[in-house]
Amino acid sequence: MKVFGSIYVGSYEVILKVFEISTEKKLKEIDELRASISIISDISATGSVSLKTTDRLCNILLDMKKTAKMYGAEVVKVFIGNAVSGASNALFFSEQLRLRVKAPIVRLSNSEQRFLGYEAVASEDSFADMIKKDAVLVDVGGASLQITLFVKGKIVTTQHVMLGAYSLRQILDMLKNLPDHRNQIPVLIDKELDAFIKAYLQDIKPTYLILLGNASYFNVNTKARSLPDKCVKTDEFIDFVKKLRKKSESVVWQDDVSALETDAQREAYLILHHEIAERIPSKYIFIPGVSVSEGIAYDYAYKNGLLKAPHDFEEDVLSASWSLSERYGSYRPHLEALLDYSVQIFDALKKYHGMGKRERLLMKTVCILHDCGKYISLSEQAQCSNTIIMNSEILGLSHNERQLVAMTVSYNRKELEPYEALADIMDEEEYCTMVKLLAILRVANAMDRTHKQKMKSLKAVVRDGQLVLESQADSSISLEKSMFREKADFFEQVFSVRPVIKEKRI
Amino acid sequence: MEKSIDLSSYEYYENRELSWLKFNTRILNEARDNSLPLLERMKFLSITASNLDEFYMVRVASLKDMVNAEYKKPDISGMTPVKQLAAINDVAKKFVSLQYSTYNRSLIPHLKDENIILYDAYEDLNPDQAEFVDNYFRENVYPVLTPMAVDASRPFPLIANKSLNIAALIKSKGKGSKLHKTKGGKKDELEFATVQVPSVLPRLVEIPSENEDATSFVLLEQIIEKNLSNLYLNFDVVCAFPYRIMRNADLSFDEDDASDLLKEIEKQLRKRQWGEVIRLEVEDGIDKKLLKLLRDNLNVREEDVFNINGPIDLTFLMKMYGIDGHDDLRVEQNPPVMNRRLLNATNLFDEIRKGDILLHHPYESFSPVVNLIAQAATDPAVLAIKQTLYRVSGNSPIIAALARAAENGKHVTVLVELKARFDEENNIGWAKMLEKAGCHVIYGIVGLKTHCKIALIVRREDDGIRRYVHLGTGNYNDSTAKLYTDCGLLTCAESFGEDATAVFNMLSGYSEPRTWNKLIVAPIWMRKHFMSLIDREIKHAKDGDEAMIIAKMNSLCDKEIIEKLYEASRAGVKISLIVRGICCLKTGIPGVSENITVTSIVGNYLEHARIFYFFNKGQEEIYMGSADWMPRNLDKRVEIIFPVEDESAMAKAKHILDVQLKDNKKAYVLKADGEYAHKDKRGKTLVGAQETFSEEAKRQDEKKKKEWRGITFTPVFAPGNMDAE
Repeated sequence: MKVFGSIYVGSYEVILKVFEISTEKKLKEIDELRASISIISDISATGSVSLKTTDRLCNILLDMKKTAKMYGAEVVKVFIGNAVSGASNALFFSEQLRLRVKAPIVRLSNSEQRFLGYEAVASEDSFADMIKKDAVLVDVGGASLQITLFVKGKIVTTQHVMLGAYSLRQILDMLKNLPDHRNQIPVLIDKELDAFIKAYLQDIKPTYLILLGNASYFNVNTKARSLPDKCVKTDEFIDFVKKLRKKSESVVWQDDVSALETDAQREAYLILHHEIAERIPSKYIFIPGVSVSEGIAYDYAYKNGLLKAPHDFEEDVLSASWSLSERYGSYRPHLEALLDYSVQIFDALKKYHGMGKRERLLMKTVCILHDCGKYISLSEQAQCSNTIIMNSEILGLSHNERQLVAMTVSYNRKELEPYEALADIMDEEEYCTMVKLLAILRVANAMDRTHKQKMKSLKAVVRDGQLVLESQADSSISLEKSMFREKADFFEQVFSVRPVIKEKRI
Repeated sequence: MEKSIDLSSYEYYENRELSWLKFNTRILNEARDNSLPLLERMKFLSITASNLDEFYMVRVASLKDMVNAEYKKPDISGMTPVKQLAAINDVAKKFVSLQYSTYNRSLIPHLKDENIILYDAYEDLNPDQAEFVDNYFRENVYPVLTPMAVDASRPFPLIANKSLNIAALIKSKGKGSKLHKTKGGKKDELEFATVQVPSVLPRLVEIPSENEDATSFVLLEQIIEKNLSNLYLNFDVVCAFPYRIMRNADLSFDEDDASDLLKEIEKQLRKRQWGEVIRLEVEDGIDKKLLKLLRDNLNVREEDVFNINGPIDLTFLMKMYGIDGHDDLRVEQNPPVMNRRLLNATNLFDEIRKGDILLHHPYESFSPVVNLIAQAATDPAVLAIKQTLYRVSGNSPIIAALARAAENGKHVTVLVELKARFDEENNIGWAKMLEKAGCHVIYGIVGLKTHCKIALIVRREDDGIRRYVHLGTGNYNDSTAKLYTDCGLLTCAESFGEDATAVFNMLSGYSEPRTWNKLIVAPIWMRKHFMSLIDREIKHAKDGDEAMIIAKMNSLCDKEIIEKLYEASRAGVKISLIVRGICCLKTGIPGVSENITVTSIVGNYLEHARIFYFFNKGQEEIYMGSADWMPRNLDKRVEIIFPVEDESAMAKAKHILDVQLKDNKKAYVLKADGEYAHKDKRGKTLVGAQETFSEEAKRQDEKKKKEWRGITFTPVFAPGNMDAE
């Protein structure tokens, strides 16, 4: 059993959760401390996090660290939410925290933050069954909604709707003097949601709607947590939220009295939850009541082998990538061949490239998405692929990882620039990874230059300082071979191993 | 159709101050009860005196504030502050008269019969005794006295609140005062002098007795009065009389006051007279001139003067209660017994793990609670101890254990409520000591009194973190735990542990939890929860199901709750209330409170537990905790009510309520006319709740002792001592 402390610095709240992690109990929360903090209001007002807020936050973090240590936590991790990235002093702010709190501070990108929340919900026992029956997961954030569609257990898409609880609250404040504002605001949300519904839910009727977000602001979460399976029928949920919106003082939920504080932020959450439940078709609503904090702990537990993930998160990345490539009309047989060649080369070169499991996943993603830009422009496909990837959410990849994939893809058809030219967007390690993936991509792509998948039963093996790519071909592969040579030079530069094709005629 | 009645109407509510005075009268009745041992009666009389002092300092002072601020809002019974003060004055004066008639006519003669002689006039001393007191005066009293005289160069001195003083008129042995003149311009020969009876010396001084079997005492003020001329050597003492004042000197407002009062007073700050004398007690027969001098200089209205027919301030009788010997004049003390689950328990944590333990004090010992903290302090598996402290005893073993725990490296968090009235200074001392020992001390919550009684121990055990929780109805005070009836629950149920952690997180300034598993916490959630529990019984009654509420508490004066109880009564819910003190609910009002009975038990122990029972269509629920049904508990304090769920604990709690309701020896019933009367005992078996619990505990203890008899103990000798066998 290990005790782990996860501290999440959100835009208006700092949360410490102390967990016991063990194979028997999985993740068991033993303490939770929450303190309000005015990061988002500081940023809105002045563009930066104030000194006062920083001081207060440092004191809170020190106290939280002490609390976690009290339980014998060996690791206490501090994660700063993406909202801070909007502050002009974000860098100094996190450096201040690091120095004063004496704890590693991780600044989360929006993708990482969303993924952690997703990791938490996907670790719930009932999650696999739900997504098998088609589900829509909506992560209600401060600035946007992230909507992920699962069909038959696989991710189809992840989309962002730029309307979150905080932005809605600002709209509420702005429009509060309009006599009809309570009826106007839902129209605004519906417009955004309808675009998603038209694009993705024409023929799909999801069974479940999974609502993820800051549970602390929402009474429904509290109630739902006490329900069997944390699930409630959609009609009942809508009815309940309607009651909540009507009554500001107290509400009745199955004859039980529940308190509700009135504040604009809560009202914004209520409106959003109500509209989401009404617009996105579902039979049941699942409110897991977990958040980034649980995600941080699960992530730590999975990465350190303390727990085995019940859900294949890599598969999510791949299925999201496949959906994307399909959406942009990529030729699947080519992608599959490319995937096969790349992975074989990657695995054969293990000793030479020093990359791990994560990079293997990135390699696969690069292959699947390498030519999605063709949909827009045949001549500028590399650049367009980059644009598509950078503007598509792939749940499970961090922002940096997505960027790495996009950059790899964009250099597939143009000359690689030196590190110095890219130093402002990636560090040296990331650059090296990108170049390695690019080298493999180029070679693998050359091997199916004609998109005819002529090279079959490929075997890749390093022998006598060469990467021998042994394959059977049912027709001439001379074109592939000639294209290959050029790419092989670059490959050799990167890995000091020359790839050679050894052909076996069928 | 049900007749519509406005349940908020003034006529359905009793004024809380008058109800409190009735409670004090019930205590006085104990002092007047001939069937009780004499010293017990003295104790009860003393309690009534200290109660009345506190009542004046807190409640009457507050009402005076209201009057000064011209605050005219009526209370729940429709009385304005002016009306309330007038009514209080009337009742209090009659009450004091009854106190002293009890003292003079019953207690003092009976004491004499028992060879205990109390001289409350020095003139009654024999020559030997007189000489003794003169010597006592010279050696012990004189050095600490500060006599003061008043003339033009020496203004009237500041008389300390609650202090006992002797006022005298003195006359110069020479030509008299040149400064004090009478109205006609003629020089007044009399001067005013005052001396404070030192509180550092015992009020009750034992003196030689006329016969060997007797024990004699004289009051300190009489010793001073007798020797007053030694303080004013150039004067003749014309007359001297003890007096005492009570001031409205408390800068804080009583938390029970109306919330808008503070604003009102802020608006009219100038009108508030800080330090105003709100009561002047003088010995009956005081010289008129002396009284006038006191009244003029202390600015006391005539109605605020109390003429006392006996020694002022009867709290000294508590010392009398504790005099050596005379055990036959006191009730036999039943020492608390150990809860049977804990009799042979070597490790409290192991025993609690077997199931919840409900302790019923003072019949059952409080020591398991103290021992739990003490054991935790040295237990290597304990990571943290968190506890709230409201009133602690002097030399508290709990404080010592907490300090020891911190010194042993445990994470100790203690919330010491500095706002606990009359204990402020004491608590600051403890808090500082704990801080020095390394505890994390929280000095209460801004704007709220932390009144809940909760202790949490976090242990790291083989199967993970486990939390042990103690929740109580009474303070962590090992002294009062022997005198107050209270309940406490020891549990390590996870749901309680999570909630207890959340309580301390809240008290440490963090946000409230999203949800509570078991605990009901004031000020945010409790009122609503109680209302919903009563509502549920109303619903059951309206559905034609049996509906019942039994609630035991110290005071009931929350209008919203009372109104809801009336509503429940009208719906047919049977309501039995056991309210020790203030009860603003009226019983027996046709169509309003016919289904409500109120009983009040005043006994040897102070009834202090708060227990709430709801029948809930047979799915009974019992709650206990620190809160009364008073606005201050529900709205202005951090309080906890906890459910009693363990089967045996629930049975025990039900038994407590059952026996209390059966009490016909000490229980009073609130009648429809607002008066309290003993229950009709005719043809009924006599039941005294406190006696019953004491007997049960004793029987339990004896049964256990019998089990021990016949057991052969097998000593384990050190190897070298084997020969000793």
